[in-house]
Amino acid sequence: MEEKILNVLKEVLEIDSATSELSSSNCEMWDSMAQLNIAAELESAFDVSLEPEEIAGMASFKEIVNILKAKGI
Amino acid sequence: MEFVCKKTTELSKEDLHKIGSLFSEVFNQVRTEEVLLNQYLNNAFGTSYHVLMYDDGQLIGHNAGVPGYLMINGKKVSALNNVDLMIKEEKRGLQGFMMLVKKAWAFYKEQGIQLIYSLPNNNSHPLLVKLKFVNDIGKLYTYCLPYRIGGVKKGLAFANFLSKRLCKLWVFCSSILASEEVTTFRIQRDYESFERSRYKRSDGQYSFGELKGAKFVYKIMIHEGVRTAFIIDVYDKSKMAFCRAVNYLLKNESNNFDLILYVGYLPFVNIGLFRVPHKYEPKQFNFVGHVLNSEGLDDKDKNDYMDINRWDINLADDDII
Repeated sequence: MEEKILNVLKEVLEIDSATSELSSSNCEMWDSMAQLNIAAELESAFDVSLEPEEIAGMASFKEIVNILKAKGI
Repeated sequence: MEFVCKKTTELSKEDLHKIGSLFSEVFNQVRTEEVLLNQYLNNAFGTSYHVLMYDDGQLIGHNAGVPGYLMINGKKVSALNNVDLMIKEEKRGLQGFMMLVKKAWAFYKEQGIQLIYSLPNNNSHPLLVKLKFVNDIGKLYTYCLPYRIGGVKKGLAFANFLSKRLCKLWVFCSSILASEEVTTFRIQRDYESFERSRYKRSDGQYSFGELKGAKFVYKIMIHEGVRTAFIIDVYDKSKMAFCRAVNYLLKNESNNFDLILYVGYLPFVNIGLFRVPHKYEPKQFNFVGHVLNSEGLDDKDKNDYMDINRWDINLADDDII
């Protein structure tokens, strides 16, 4: 799962490499619109539907992992 | 972050000053405290509803709702236009945005508002929709008539004579073909309460025209460097009424503008103005809505509310220019 998330982050944020430390506070490309796009990509990658609160909470790799785990992925 | 909900009538002078400063920082436009008050107080409720967002005591975000009444299939319903949603650039994030809008929706509900609509810009529109605060109703169109083409595109000043002639010919031909049939809308303003205060908003510089029974409101201003006559509203919406509004402007105001614009949604064409295809519009007008409280509304009302073809919507609803 984590590898898949990192690939989504790399693709959406258009960055060469993504690590588990990646977040909106250390990546300039990770703005509100990017976060929406990340959520949309994650929804299709994991075939899951995300609630608005979950989308708003996805401000770092770690938060994404926690949210997806809580959804049973 | 801290959120404070206030009615306009509860805002202090300092609050208004801070909102004005934030507005000019975010939108790069000046709004004096007087203009803000005009905007927020001149409605059927005599106040608007604000959420102020603070970080370390500093105002970093604001959202306002201007209430009024809509007539939906003949029922008078409280509805609110959500405006001036703004967050300082360096403080933007989905979490803060979501909290601000959530607070606003809850505040509106407390105040007895049933319906929300808004014309959000391209920054906040995708966030509002994706976070499910609103649904898309549709997009407004821009209808235009470039009367003096050199005023719109400087290099074409040599063609002014031709563009003026062509405009007059176009409007003349449109008038011959235009029907007098008035379109009725399932969703429209409650004109009785709306008219009492609407045109005191902003700088209050609106003009009222009438030609052969067609009544309309317009405003002439410099818009993005172009002398523009905005047709704000035409009361009885028929093709002929629009043609008469355009005709009136050409006859009485032609020295004062180079371009005529109408922004709204009309279920008919041929109104003496050209409809600009969405892909060529310099600015897009997103139109969204949300049902906060469906009491007294049936499924037909709710479906109609989310269908732009049922709406009488234009710049009279919002000074978004």
